[in-house]
This record gives sequence, C-alpha cells and structure tokens, in this order.
Amino acid sequence: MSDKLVTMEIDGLTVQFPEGMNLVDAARSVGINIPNLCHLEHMRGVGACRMCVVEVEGMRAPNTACTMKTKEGMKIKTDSEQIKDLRRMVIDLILSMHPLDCMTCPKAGVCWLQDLAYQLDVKDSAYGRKSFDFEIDDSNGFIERDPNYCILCGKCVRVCTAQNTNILEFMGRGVGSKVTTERDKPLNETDCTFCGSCLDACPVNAILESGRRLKGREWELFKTDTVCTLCGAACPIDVSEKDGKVVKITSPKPNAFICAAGRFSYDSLAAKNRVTTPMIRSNGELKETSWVEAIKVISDKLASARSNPAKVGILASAAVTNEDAYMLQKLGRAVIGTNNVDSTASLYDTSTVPAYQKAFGKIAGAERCITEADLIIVLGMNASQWSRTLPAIDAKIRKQVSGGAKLIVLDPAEIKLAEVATKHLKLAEGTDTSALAALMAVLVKEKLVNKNRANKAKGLADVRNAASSSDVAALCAEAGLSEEDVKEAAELIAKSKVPMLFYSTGVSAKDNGVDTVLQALNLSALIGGQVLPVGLEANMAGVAAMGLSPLTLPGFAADGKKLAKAWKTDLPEAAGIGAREMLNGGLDFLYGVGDLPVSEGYEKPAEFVVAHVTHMNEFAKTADVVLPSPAFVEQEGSIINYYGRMKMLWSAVEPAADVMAPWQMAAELAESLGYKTKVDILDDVTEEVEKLALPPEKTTQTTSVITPSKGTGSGLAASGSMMTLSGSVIDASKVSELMRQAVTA
Amino acid sequence: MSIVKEVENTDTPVAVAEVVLECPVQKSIKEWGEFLEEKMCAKCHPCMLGSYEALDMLKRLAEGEGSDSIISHLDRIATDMLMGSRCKKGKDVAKTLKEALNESRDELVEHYEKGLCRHMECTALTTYIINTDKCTMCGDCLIACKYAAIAGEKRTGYALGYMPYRVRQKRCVKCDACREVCPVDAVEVFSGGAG
Repeated sequence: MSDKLVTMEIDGLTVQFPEGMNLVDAARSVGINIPNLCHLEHMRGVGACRMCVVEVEGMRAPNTACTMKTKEGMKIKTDSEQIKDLRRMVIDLILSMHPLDCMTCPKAGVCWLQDLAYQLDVKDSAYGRKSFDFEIDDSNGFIERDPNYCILCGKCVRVCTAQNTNILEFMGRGVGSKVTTERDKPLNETDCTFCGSCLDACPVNAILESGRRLKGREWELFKTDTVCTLCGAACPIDVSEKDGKVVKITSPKPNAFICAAGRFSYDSLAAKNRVTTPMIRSNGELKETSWVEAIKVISDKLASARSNPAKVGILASAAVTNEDAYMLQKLGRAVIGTNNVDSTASLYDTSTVPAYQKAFGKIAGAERCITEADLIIVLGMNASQWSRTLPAIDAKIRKQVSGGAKLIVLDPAEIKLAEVATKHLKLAEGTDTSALAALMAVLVKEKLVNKNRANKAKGLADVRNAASSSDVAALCAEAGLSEEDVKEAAELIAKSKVPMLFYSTGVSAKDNGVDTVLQALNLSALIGGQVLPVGLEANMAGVAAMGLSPLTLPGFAADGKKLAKAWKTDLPEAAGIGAREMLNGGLDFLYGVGDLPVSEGYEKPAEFVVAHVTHMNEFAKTADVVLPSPAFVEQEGSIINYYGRMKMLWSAVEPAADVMAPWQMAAELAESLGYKTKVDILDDVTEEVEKLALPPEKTTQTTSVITPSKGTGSGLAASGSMMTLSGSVIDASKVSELMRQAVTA
Repeated sequence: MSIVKEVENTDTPVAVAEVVLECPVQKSIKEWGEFLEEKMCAKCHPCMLGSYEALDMLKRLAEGEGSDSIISHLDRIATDMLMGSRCKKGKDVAKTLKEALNESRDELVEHYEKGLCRHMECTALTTYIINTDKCTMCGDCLIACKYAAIAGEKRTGYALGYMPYRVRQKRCVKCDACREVCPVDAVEVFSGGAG
C-alpha cells in the first residue's frame, strides 16, 4: 500500500483510496460492505468463496474483490442481479451441508453465514441435505473443533500458516474435505500453542471456545475493550462477561493475535490462591483482617520507618498501571522522602531509559504499525510463541514475513525466529554496537541510503561522517561477521521502504546496553525507520514515564522544581537504590506490588514487608501484611505499550476479591501520614498525571557517535519470561507443560 | 455405441473398447465424474460444492428420477459456475453442461418424463428383450452373457417343446454382450414407457 491516492468509482460513488489497497477493505472504509466469507484483513486474498465478486467495467466477467487492488480509474459495481444470484447459490450450497442449528448454536448473532443468509434471503437449502458426521475434537480445555459446522473457507488454515504454527490443514478434497490436524489427531496431541487465532478467524461455529455452549448468547454478553497485562506485548483484548463472570476473551481487531495465556487464563481470577482479603501475620500465621486495620498497622510502621528514609523502599512490577506507578513514587518521594522507588523493569532493562533520555528526552514511540513494515530487524529479542516469550510479537513478525516482508535477525544464538529470517547475522556475544556500526558504514559508504530517507535528527551528519570513515573490515571482525553477510543485510535495508527495528533484553540487559540502544537509534535515523523497545512486562515504558525509578522523575523531568512546587514539598536529594538491591535485603520497610520475581524459599528482604498482590506468591509467603490487588482484567487505568502509545485499561468484571488498587493504597497511606493528596477517584490521579507526568509531546531525536564496545552480562535471561499463571512466577518454558497437565488432569 | 478399435504404437496390436457416448446425460456424468476425481482443485465454493450437487443430480437423471426443478437446478449451477468459478477448468466443465442444457434439453427431460434414453445409454432406462420371432435359439447369447441373465435351452434339431430364450431382467446389467453376439439381431433394446 503506497501513500499515493487514486480516484475510483464504487457503486456510483467517486472516492479516493491509497493505491494498492485491498478492494474489500477499501470499500468497507467507505461504508460499502461487500459480502465475503474467506477474506482476512491484512492478508493476501485467495478468492475461494466467490462471495465478493463485483462487476468491473472493462472486464468480461465479474471478479472477486478480495484479490483486486485499488487502481486509478477503476469502476466497480458491487451488486447486480447475476451477482446476487451467485451469492445466493454459494450460501445455498453451503447451507446444504451445514447443520441448520441457529436455535442452540452459540455463534448465533455473530455468525457470518447467518448474516449473509439473512441479507440474501436464503431460508433453506434447495439442495439435498448432507451431513458428514465428523467427530468433535474436545480433547483440551481451550479450543473445541466441530468440523460439521465447517464451511471450508480456509481462514483458520491461513492464519495458522501465516504465523508459522502450521497445525491446521485441509484433509481431502471437495465437499467431504475437513479442516484438521496432522493425521487427524486431537489438538492436544499436536504442537498447538492454543493461541486461538483460529477461534477469532472462524466465521461460523466450527471452532469455538471449550465450554462456550452453556455460557450465554452473544447478545447477552457485555464486551469491554481493554488490554492484557500478562507480558510485554500488551495485546488489546475484548473481554466478554455475563453476570459478572468472564465468558471469553477475544481479539478486538480482525486477524490480530492473543496468546493462550491472555485468552484463557481468566479462570485464575478465582483461583484457590487468590488473595481475597487483607491479612496480617501474627505468630507466624497470616490472619484475615479488615482494610482499616491493615492500613493502620502499615501506616504505624511507616511513620516510624520514615525517620530513616534511606531504609524504606517501594517496588512494583512493571505490569501496574500508570496511575499506580505515579502514586507509588509520589508516596516515596513526596511523603516518605526517599528515592528508593523502582519497578522490576530494571531487573532486565537498564538501558532503554537512559538511552532514550539522551536521544529523545523521553521514551519515544513508533508512529507506524508493524503491519506496514516491509523490513523487520530483530536485535537481541528471542520472542517465541512456543516458549511463550512475547508470543504476540513473534506471531506478528512471522505474519509479516509470510506476507513478503524481509527479516534480519541479529543474535549470537540460533533463536527460533531466525528460521524465517531472510538474513541471520550471528554476531559474537555483546558486539551489537560493532555490528550496527558495520551496517551503517556499508550503507553510507556504498551510498545505499540517501539523505532524503533519513529521519530528522540532530547530529546525524556526525554519525554519517563517522560511518563513512569507519573500517568495515575491522568492525566486521569485531562482531564476528563476514563482510559479505553485512553487505547483503545492508542491501535488504536499502531496498526497504518501511523498516522497523525491535530490541529486547538480549541488548538492554547488557552493561553496554545504553550504547547499543543509541547505536540502534542512530541506524534507524539513518534509514528512516522506527525502533521499538520491547520489555518483558506490559507497562515498562509507562512506569518509567511515571517516574517509578530512582533514575527518572515523572515526565522525564530534568529537575524536580515543577514537581516540588506542585507537591508542596522538597524532593529527596539522596540517590535511590534499585529493584535488585531492594530484593537482596537490608531495608527496614519494603512495599512490594504485583508479581516480584523471587524464587522458592526466598528470604524476607526487609524488617517489615507489605505484599500487595493478586495471588499468594513466593514474595507474599514471607510478608508481614498481604493485601489483595485487582488482577489482569479487573484493573482500570492506563499503560504505555511498547509502541509508546497510551492505552486505556477498563475494568471488565468486578474484582473477585475485596481489593484496593495500588494507587488507592498509596493515597490512603499518604493521607494517614498527614499528606493531603486530594485524590478520591481514579480521575483525580489521571488529572494529576496529565499535569505533571506526561512527557513532552514532540521532541527531535539527537544522535551521537557511538564507539563500539563489547558488552557482557544479562539481567534476567533473555529467553525467560515474566508470565504468571495463577500468581506464581514460573519459567516460561514450563508453561506449555503446565497447560497440558491442567487440561488432561 | 461402442466401437472396438485397434490401438497403434504398440508392439502387439491390442483391441481396446473405446466408448463414445452420445446421451447428454451420460456424457455429462463422465465429464463431471472425471472432473471431480482429477481436475477439480476444490478451492472455490461454487465449483467444489456445485459440481458435487450437479453430479448427484445427473446420476439421478440417469436413473429416470427428476422433475423440472432438477433441470432448473442444473441450469443454475452451470450458469453460476460459469460466471463465478475461480479458474478456467471449472468454467469449462460448466460450459459443456450449459451447452447440453441449451441444445439437448428435451433429451434430458425425456429421461424423467418418459423414462426414455434416446441413445439407449442410461442403463436404468433401457430394457433388453429377445425377439422370439427372430431368435434361432443358437445359444450364443447365453454363452456370451457373463451374468447368467439369459435363460433358455439350445435347440437341438427335431426336439419339440423348448424354453424360449429370454432375458432375465433382474440379472441383466445391460452390458450389450448378447446383442453384439446375436447373429440374427434378435436382441432388441427398448427405452421409455413401461419397458
């Protein structure tokens, strides 16, 4: 799709579209819904169902709109008697092999076949009724497959293939064909990751959520558009609820990915180890208590602990909302007088914040979406649907590559994503700065990128000069790459129009991570690309922007003058300690929020520990006070995702416990210590955040020449993930095993 | 209806029965049957579902079942497949049916209205009867019939009282072997009406 506009006529309406846009999508954008059954947004059309045929002036016969692209001067008619006849016949034929089950079918109301039969007024099939009596696959607790309802549109096969999971395929040909797995095995005997992309793709009831039949009709469900906070991908989700219980979670956008955890783990909301009331430890046992009592106990302890602010710490997981993060750091800085406020992001990313502060003054976002990218560079990111590390990002990248985009992977290991890479640069451990410098040198020296392509950035001329005078051979040798490989990668970059670069903990956890990120930002400025810093948790960018870090103030403010004035108090001077030191022990008072990654048998890190959690995890097991917190679809607030965009979380169901959000608790504690917060409801916090904590809108990038260096170390292993299942932080590689156990038990 | 021809380009001359069909119903069944077996890619709905239905209907027509709605269904399938199929193969096979419907509609209608297959190819509608006036009771047909569908005694000279040769209708599969073999053309084929 280009940026050039073309003029064409649809049904007598003269419209302008970007050139090369899919005709069905284009028509929909102006309110003309061309009926279709096998069309998938953002994917190449196949023209299988023939429902979307339209008459094109100049063409002898009608042609399918999904396989056509917008062109200058096109004139199409989306309806006519003969087209209607064909559409009716296709529906008629499909109905003859479809169980006419609308009375009890859970898809009623959102079924494409039902809608089209209604629009075209096809009551029953004129052809003989056929039933193939296929077996239903209900082997796992997640996805149920009933091939008797299948209309053979092939959408599930195409999405499963595009994201390279390759589980579903057609078996047989023609009318009796069936969509199934290899050797027709039930899903739980395959490598299916239960992501449910097929669930969202199926237009009828052939693929449905397990147990969906009994849970209510579509029109009885209330949908809330919110965001999943279980990992760094922060996928938008639609939560359907009925009578206060979650019925299902789906993707709000067509053909978008949600993983099995985001889609199916809502039953963890009522898990046995869910913390339901505040608890205080007395005589070694946790006893239930009231919020009033809990707050009193905590604030008494805090009142005495704050006389030595260096020994007080506040630590939250980076999956809390912006409002939570802001109030927590305000409690630390304004009320207690300590800079010991941090999030778990610093355990795996010590580079993004300092690097972006230097380059942009804030964590800048990406303006374009991955679906527009024709070249993707992956640096130090081992995203994988199979080990459930940032699975959505892995799926999105693979889908783009399936659609023709090129992929360059820079990673010393043979990561799974490299199997679809156009070029895998296997650089030596820690030599990313050299490898990127080599790429830039080749691009500039061989004149592969001209100045018009570059993003606006200060200091780019210096970077360009440095690149043109670099020794490519030496840089390649440092990085352990061959000059030929680097040249090929550079040529791929040169041919691209919308390059996007992803990086994650493989880069940001190293000791030279700041330089690497800056170098990546230099490269992207040169080639007119976008950089996406991907953290392992949903709100890594947001908690940094809110100042929940000893290194940053809210809004990335350069100094605390404005804040001190607004908060009516001086800001603490002494430097604060970070998450690692806080968890290693030695504090008098530690307020921990969310899933803090500690292993079994963890020793209490402070004299007095408050754990504000959703489920009893290892951290809470030794805490003095345990408080219930809202869980992943119960949270309300905002986050900033890895695109740098602010996303709203809306509470989909009432919390299954007597909870208080962390921002609320922080406000209560502040008030109990005599600080006037003026915060009653969430909107009060949002207002304050808007005034004080939002980073500056537009900033120009500053690039600087980076001397290549070799980095060492890595915080949390780049292949591990912080995904949680029913409250305990576990190794991501164990998740598949646990899920399989859970459904066969 | 059937021709025996010599096949060239082999080391030993081989006689192969090459069947040339003339009944439009049988022709279509053969074409569509082959299409479904081999050429059809089965990726687009009109062709994949429509050809299955069409073959089903044609087979019923060959059995003499049907009504005006069958013809209109076939017409509809052929028209829509011609317009809507994804590739030329589907369109081609639809075209032949459309032509058959246009040129030989009355022959098709005869099948269900009168139970008549003009070309004597739809075996469900044909009956083989031995014309006893012509029959010389040579017994060749009995020997030729592989299905034991001919009953009769070979006439030997002067004996009186014989079983006339007749076709046992329940066993007859209309393979045409008896008619080919009969030296006096006593085996006749009828179609249409109460056969």
